[in-house]
Amino acid sequence: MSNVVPLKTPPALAVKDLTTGLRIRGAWHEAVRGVSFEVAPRETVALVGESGCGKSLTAMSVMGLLPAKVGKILTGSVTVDGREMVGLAERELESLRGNLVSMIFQEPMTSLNPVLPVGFQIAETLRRHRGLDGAAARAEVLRLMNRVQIPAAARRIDDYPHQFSGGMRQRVMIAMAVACRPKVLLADEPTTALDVTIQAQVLNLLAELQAEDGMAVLFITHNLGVVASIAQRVVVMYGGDVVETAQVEDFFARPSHPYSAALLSSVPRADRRPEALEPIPGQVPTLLQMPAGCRFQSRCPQVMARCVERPPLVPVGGRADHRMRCWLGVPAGAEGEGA
Amino acid sequence: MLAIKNLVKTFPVRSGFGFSGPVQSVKALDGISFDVARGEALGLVGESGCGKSTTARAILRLTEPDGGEALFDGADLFKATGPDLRRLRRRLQIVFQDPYASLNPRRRIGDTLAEPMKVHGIAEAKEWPERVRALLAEVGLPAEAVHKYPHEFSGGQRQRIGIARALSVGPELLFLDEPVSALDVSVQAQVLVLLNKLREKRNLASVFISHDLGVVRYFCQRVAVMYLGRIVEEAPAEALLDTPLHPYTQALRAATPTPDPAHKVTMVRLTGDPASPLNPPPGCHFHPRCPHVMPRCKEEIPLLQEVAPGRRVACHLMDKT
Amino acid sequence: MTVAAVSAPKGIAGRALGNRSLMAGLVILALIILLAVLAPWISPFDPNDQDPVLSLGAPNAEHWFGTDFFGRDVLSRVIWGARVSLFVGAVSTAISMLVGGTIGIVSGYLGGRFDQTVMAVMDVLLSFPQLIMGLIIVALLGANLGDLILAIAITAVPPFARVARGPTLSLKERDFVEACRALGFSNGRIMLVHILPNVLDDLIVMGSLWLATAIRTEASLSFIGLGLPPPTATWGSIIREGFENLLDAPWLAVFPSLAVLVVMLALNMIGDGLRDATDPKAAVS
Repeated sequence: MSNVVPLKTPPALAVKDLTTGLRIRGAWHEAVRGVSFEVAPRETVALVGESGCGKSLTAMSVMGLLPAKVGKILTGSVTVDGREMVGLAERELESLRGNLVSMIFQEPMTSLNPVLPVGFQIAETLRRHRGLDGAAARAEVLRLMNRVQIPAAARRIDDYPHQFSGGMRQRVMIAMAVACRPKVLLADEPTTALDVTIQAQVLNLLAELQAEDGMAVLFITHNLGVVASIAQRVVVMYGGDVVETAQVEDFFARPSHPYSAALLSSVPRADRRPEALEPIPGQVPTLLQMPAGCRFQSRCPQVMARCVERPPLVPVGGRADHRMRCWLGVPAGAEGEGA
Repeated sequence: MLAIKNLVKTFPVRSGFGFSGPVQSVKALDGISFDVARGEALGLVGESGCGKSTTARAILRLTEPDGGEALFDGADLFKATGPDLRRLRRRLQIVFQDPYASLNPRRRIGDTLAEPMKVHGIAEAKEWPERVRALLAEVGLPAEAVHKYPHEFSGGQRQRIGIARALSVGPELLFLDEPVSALDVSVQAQVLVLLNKLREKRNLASVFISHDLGVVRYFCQRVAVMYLGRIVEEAPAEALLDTPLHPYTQALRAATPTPDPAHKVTMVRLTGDPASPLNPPPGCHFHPRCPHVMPRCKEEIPLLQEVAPGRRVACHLMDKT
Repeated sequence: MTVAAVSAPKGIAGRALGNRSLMAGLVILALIILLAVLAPWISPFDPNDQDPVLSLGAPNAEHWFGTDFFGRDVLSRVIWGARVSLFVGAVSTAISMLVGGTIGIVSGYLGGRFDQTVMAVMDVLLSFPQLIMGLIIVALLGANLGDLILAIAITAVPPFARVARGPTLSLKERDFVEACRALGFSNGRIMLVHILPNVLDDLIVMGSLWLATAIRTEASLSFIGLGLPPPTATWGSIIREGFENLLDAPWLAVFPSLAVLVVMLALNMIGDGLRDATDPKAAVS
């Protein structure tokens, strides 16, 4: 089920009905259920949710990076630039990663090899995918480092990761990720660990790179402020389900799913002080404790009897591009209570 | 209630190995001064390396300050020793950032909460179980928790236990060192609301350390902004966040994302990394990154001056002279 | 994160019971201890009973392990020797764990010059090969039971001090220890109540592994003649005799060596198993 009016240009990333399982104590549990969304070239889609909602797992599924014995894609399709990724052999996936689709992570210290100079690490992608070597690779690495605004690149090309600050390391990661001009960039909380002024610089950089290269960006975060700043569309996940998708302006004006609305009123903002902060009661259930039907029912202020059945994605406010997964949006019909 | 004057703290940093190698010093705190009134919440904000956590630790003497004065309700915190210091410790407490490191993994919660009472001789032994139960109820945890170990609880719950422990000695002022930064978004709100409730109920003064302007706006009446060991601006929370005066505060505010697509994060022209505390720039620490830098800024350290009632700024732009 | 917190960590006892090598090691050790304890009853002969006629007799139906130079039954001597080895090993390890552990925790926690000095001393002691150190101490003190135990205990104090100091250094920076200081707890209380329980696991694992070394040291000292004086049966002295008669009566050397081997193997299995059982990373199922 697509979440958007068909685009005129084919999407750079299309995820359709993706279901990913995690193996716990021998049994497979669906940690990501029937997730669908698309990202167009030059567009930034924010994938929002808290710990345990499955957003990182979704990204790993797209990249085919699930840990072999305990995670696997159960059903669904992932197409990047028209190419199906699910079911590809590891060797084929390797040739696509870093090349067609790249990913950057939250902790640059653990994502970079501490014993190799950064120039070497950036060059690795170039060696692997573009066959560059020696002087040619080095020149390209320098160009990339300048592009991601690492000052004094020529001097720092042989420095080690620990000699860079957090923000600079993140730029190194970005350089590695965009080296081969991928069509899709997955960013998993890349700025969460950074100071706010550095975060602003990095977000700025990503926007610039995106404008130049025309990448589609899937930006994973739990920070709604960041979503408002950089995304055109937002996909909200909870407990492995997509619970709401919308254009960003529409989302913040009219957060429709009870979880989205609750999330927005529970986050303190720097621009105005709410009279009261309304926390969402309870906690995210663990994977083994997930209720059948709507995942949010145990904490939802508007829970109904019908919620034990998994609600469909329904349009909100008469717009085809704003959908939520909630019985509240289903018009009062023959069965059950309506909105 | 709490009056801090010219707090200084330097850390020696040895480069090279072992006993040899030059010793540099990092001036983590370079003359910090502020006051906290009874029942008031002061926010201490800044980015990593600005010294906000060190401020709390120095005042509590978890690390010994190298200069300055701290008066708590008239008592000199830095000169107290032995039993006097122990008694003062009951009145000032701290809640830490990392819920996974702030509890002894080998002790049951009941013992962890009763221990402070035992050490300070608060109430009689037979009253402790009841008091522990009352503390747990106050932070919203069930009485059964007394028999459990920390690993049986989630991050948010552990943080509540940490708060209960701090309250067990009946403090009048709480240092809150990024108490919600390590928690999930929806749990953050729960703990913030709890802290607010406790603050009102017990009339606690607090120093709320954070890098998150939104959280600080919710909790604090006044806010002080720190940069590289100095306070650069201090004002009532609303005023500081709506009309920041110091260029750094302006940059911080502009860079803070808010859930409002009409106001996207903007980069006030701050280039490069924050200066290293090992080698701070002369004069105003912020001048290399400041969009309004003047020649004077490189030589003279701006002093924190009152530029409007209740508002202090350390910036040459606002100098009356 | 939510997935990892799915179940509470299995208790240490739970994981210990499930660890096969640990259980096997414990069984073997228990058997040997049992044999040693029951020595007066199950030993077929008096270990000091000489019978020159049977000197250096090969293993047969009557003497399962053969006889030594003086015609004494080797099996009996090995069984009685177990008592010495186990007793000396256990007591000396317990002493060094106590003393070394305390030194390590106090030194690590107090830090500064005190720590530097103490650790320098420990390092000097560590630089002696353990056997040489045992040798020197026994030579100085004499070779009776008490001094032997002391000698072996002293050689093990530096390693235990190190093992205790490491975790202490990182623990003292942890927030919960800072919280104790903020709450006004005394250093003594913090070290005893808060740091020790968190270091105990490492000490115990080290203890079981070191017990094997202690037994080996005792055997080695006996072997070179610095252990308990004859005619006391110790594995080391039997091996020494066997060494002198290796071509004529290999069984003299083989059986006590096997005994030492089996005990050390069992203790290593226990130590490894304990280490796995107490590893916090293994706690998440």
